Amino acid sequence: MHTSATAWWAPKSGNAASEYEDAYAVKPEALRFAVADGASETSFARQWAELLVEGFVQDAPSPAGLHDFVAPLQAVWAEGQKGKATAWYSERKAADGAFSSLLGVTIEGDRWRAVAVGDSCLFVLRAGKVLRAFPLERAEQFNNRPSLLSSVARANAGVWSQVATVDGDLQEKDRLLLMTDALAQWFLVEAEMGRRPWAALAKVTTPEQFTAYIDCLRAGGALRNDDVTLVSVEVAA
Amino acid sequence: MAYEAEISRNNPSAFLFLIDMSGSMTDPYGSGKRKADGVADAINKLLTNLSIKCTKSEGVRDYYDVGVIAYGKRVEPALVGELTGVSLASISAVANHPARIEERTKKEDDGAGGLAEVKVKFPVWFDAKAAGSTPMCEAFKMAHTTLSGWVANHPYSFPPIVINITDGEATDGDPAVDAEALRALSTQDGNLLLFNCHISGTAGESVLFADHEEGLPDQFAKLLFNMSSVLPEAIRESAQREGFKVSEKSRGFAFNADLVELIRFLDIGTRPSNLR
Repeated sequence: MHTSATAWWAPKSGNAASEYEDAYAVKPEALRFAVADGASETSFARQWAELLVEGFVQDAPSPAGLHDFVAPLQAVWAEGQKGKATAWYSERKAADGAFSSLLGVTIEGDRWRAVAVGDSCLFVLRAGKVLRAFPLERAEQFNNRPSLLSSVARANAGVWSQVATVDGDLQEKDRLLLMTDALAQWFLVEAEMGRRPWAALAKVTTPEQFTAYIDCLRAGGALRNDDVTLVSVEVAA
Repeated sequence: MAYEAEISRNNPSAFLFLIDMSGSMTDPYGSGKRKADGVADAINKLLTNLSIKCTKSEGVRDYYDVGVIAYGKRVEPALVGELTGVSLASISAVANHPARIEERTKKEDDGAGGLAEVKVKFPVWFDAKAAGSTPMCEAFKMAHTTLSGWVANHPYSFPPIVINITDGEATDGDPAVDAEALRALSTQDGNLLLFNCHISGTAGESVLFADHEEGLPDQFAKLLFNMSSVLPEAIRESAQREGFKVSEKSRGFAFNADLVELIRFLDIGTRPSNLR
């Protein structure tokens, strides 16, 4: 299988681009793709989200190997904090750790495989239909507080049992959409109402168009104000 | 719909604590600590939690303005150190200017099935100084003065939350009148929310988010209950998620909550679900 991938992102409205805390990584030649959503109530979340996606497209850990995959990244994150937390509150916040979702997708032969922690979502499209939504399948499921991967080991004790995995077959012209939660929630709401949200996203060809479309969805109240990330993967023969 | 404004740096919210520092607050409470010291600890922990909640990689983001007014011998802004005399300060100013930082130890899960004793910094902004009577009406009036300008300057913000912590009856009139005037302040997102925490010497079952006055042990508890705002839906849902029993009639009222619960009460009351 050959793929081509495009990625789009926009910070939460009212925030600067430098305050964007999602992350994505694509490695089409290796057929690996990932998005992550750094939790905004934690600090240095973007760095943590970036470590996770970059690590994923590098190593493509198996779901069972996720624990061993995360450990060295935690060390890198901790190293990056050294000397930065000088105020008492930064120190306390850093001790609490950063948290992030992770959605990673790999393609091997004519099959795809996905692993997820948290509420970043994968949608597999075929012939104008959503063939698969993962790990959340209905818009209402976004109400729960998701389990997230932490940059401090002790906070991950309850996470390993909640790692979700799924796989499926792949055909020519299939599309895989990886999204962070706000956009994924909008996508599911639209799909549940019988509309075709992927069609509008497919029309986007420039970053400006993406930003304009996101602004429009936010202004109309259809999209929750949050960082937004979309990775779109097209499958060729 | 009211109480749905997103709390952001452009549209921050505000917390104002009114702390009874009358002479009776030197009475022991629960574990034998003086009530006033227990309340001071709770306020300092809460300001700590708020500061940490607003901390991001680059520093503290100003999602809130915060003030503490003590009433007893005098009615006055009660933060100490650099913030002495300031009635409302941004949370970044609060975080950066504790009067002092003490070191305390706490036990923490060590991630390997055991407990480790760790040293934590305990910032202090507020010290207990209990003396005099209970001029609650005057405290409500000062809160009104402080916040009427704030709501005018923040018309789109989540409305301010005022938390009154007291152990006894007002000595300067009927506080219900001043409480009503305070609750009448509003932004476009809703009326100011007034929560009351009653630390009573009267025995009685501890109550959080009470939804009726029957069963409250004295007239004053009932008065405070009736002065407290009904919980807006967003805060009610947040309390529900924390496992509290709440109904549509639940009010921001706590009776004889122990101090751990008091922190939780304040934490929930001060954590609108839409802070992201």
